[in-house]
Amino acid sequence: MQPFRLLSIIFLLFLFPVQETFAQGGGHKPEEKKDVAAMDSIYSVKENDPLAEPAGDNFDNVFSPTDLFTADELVSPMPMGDMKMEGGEHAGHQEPQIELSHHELVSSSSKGFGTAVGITLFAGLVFAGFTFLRLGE
Amino acid sequence: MANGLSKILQDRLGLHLLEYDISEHANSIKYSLGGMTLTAFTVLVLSGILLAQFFVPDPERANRSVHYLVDQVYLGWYLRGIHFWAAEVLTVTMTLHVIRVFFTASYKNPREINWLIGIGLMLLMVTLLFTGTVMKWDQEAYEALAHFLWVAEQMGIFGLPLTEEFAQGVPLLNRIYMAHISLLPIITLLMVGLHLFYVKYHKLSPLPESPEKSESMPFTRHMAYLQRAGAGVFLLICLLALTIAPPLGEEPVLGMEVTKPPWQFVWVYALENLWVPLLIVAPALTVLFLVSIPFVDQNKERYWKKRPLAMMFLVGFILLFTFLIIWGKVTTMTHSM
Repeated sequence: MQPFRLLSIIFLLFLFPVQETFAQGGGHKPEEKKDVAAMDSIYSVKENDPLAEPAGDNFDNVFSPTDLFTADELVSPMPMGDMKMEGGEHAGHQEPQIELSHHELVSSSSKGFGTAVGITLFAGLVFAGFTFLRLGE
Repeated sequence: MANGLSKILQDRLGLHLLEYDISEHANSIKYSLGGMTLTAFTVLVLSGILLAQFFVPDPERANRSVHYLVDQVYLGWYLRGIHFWAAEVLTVTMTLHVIRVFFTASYKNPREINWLIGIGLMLLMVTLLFTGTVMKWDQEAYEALAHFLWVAEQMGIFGLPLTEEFAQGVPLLNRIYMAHISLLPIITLLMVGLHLFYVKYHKLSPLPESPEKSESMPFTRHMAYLQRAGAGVFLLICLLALTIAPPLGEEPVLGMEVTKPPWQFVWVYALENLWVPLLIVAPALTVLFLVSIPFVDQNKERYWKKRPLAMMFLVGFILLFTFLIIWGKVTTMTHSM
């Protein structure tokens, strides 16, 4: 019983300053991506991509060029023998650069951030209400 | 009037059936971990239904559709965060639940079958986690799928249904999506129902240290406690989603291996680094070990102080996995398959 009450108090203390923290949180704001591909309609076809299939392709061409099982070299057997390992000797400059994804702090400029704070605050109040009122317990 | 309405609803809905007695120790965090796991799973299902409205299960568009959701859709980043963090919280509560069940010897006669159902549920959760990782279709997803396909290849005819050769002309990502949003959740829900049925049928396992002393209370009181615990779990998920965005990379570069799997799988990565076939052998041995526990451990004793060998196994298992996860996180892949 006690841990819940303690937790709810900690959560409430954390919750109330969160909006202000993030409103000021320019220092933690991740670099905003202005990736053209991400801004484009997701339903558009890459017309300039030589690998992209034209619209209305026949059934023989249903595989996407980025799919694992398109080309012969994919999967059977899996081409891991050719894979370059992180930090390996062969990680040369001719290999394509891959930016590894990581956890990032949420930016306060994210769409609907205020609403998200509101939803979280509401969840906190519900938990606090259950903890202090002990309905049905 | 409120009492009258309450009585009418109770009569119509049969709510009085929930008034059966259970042990009072059910209202504690350690005996509510299963309920907390169920809460996280419910959040996953609901957020998953919303996420599915924005996801395009096509290898060429899947990654872009997730980026679109996160960058362009109102609250899309929050929705994805809730789904991601619900899965993380579920992993933790489910693991703690399994540890509690082992610690209190709740898998022993007559609850062996429910232990097996629980292990099945754990495997389903791992599979859901894996398929969810693949669906975002970034470098991490591609490499996860590449490893999976390698394992499927090694399994020969048994692995065939898991490869693209089984349904030529259908992108594997589509089939993984189907498994993630329908096949696996349906099986999970059925097994959760079975798991709960056997909890009720065999009753909550008694406290090992004082099996006779436990008082009883109506189940509705436990429901109220679970309601509070569930609200806490949801709050935690919301807080995490509000502050930390889950990783999301760009479309994968085929034939490269540069990422590490999520922490839930990284122990296998560490072992694979030692000897590649461990990628298959280690998970199989782990499952075999878990399944065999109630059949090997026939000792009737339930109190942990009187089960030194079992406690040694438990501590050893926890230390081994913790070490492998940390090692997998800090080590660099050195082998070439």
